[in-house]
Amino acid sequence: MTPMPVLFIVGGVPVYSHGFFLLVALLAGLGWLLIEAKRRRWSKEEVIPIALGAFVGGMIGARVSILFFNGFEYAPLVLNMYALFDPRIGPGSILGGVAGAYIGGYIASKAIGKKSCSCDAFAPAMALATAIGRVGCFLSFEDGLGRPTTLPWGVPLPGADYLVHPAPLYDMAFNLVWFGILLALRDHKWMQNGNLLKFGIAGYAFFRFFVEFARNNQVMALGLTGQQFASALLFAAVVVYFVKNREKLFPSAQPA
Amino acid sequence: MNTENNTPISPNDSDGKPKWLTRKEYIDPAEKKRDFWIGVAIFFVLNIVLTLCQWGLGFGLLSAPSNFAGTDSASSTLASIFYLVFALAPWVINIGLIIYFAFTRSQIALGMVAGFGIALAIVICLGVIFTVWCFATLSAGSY
Repeated sequence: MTPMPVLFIVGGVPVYSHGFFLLVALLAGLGWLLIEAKRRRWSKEEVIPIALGAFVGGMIGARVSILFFNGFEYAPLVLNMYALFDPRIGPGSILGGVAGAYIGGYIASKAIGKKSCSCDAFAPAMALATAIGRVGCFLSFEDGLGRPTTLPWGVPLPGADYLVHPAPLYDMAFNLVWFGILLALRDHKWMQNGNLLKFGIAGYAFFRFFVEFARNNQVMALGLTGQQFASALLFAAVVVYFVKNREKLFPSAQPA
Repeated sequence: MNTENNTPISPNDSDGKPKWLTRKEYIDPAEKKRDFWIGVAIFFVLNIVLTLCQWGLGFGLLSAPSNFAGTDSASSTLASIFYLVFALAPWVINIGLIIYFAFTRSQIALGMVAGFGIALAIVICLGVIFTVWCFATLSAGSY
């Protein structure tokens, strides 16, 4: 198996798999968000500012989180806002993107004076977009795919005499399944008013903690990567939120 | 006698907030549209100006060490502080203005965020025809 950084060539111009699938992922995510918003009768006066806030927040979060995950040696690149507009640099970490999108969407919803939360429309859209985006990561052999493995589905790396985990495909497979689960749960009475989004984020964080053991990210402390610390923190935050607000969030779960 | 006409015009609204901190309620759709496009224009004009300032000041900083009378370490510390301020200024100014307008003239804030989004969307589209370096393989400053 060889990397496929260039997907195809149009009129002599190479189309790169990473950028192509990132674009398709964002368009698919946006498309699904609009479908969900329509289904939930979410007005465009609210969808547009919240989606814009989430998009910009997500891009900023993905980039800024690199300081935490990869260290302060990246500060010159991360602290320069205009490096965000350099198409040669990858957007950054998806975990930071999720956190940034949440904060951006939250600020936008407060700014338009929205009381309740329609943000559950984002949950399946985020899973779908992540699944598609990971195809590009796999085809471009991003980060050397994963750690060495002897498992039968290990992928040979060019120039190496060992197999590695196809970690982006694990991510893709999980997110496709998670997308289906979130769709199945979207009308459940407990999964409204922001609960589906929080549940979706927690699920990804839980999975990400474990898939990190197959990835090549930099170990930060205790044998764990920065992404694992962030995932654990995100997961714990959502669990604490659910436990603390259980009486309000799940009224019929309480004993009579 | 009607005393209303003699009441001085207060710069504050009825809640006691200064006018520049009062939330604007949009009634006219044309006004909303105008403010939105003002926001888009503010984002692009502001950032073109900031980029030019950074570019110009960058040249200034490159020649600065020869102008500093202090020791090497003092001049390098000063240069680092300047660098940090210049690097962070666009973040602070852009995000600060968006948050300020979000709670005063929301359509200007929306326009600024839309401008930001448009610029990022263009970059993502351009990423299709560029080799994109991820951070795990990218060494800082060497791209």
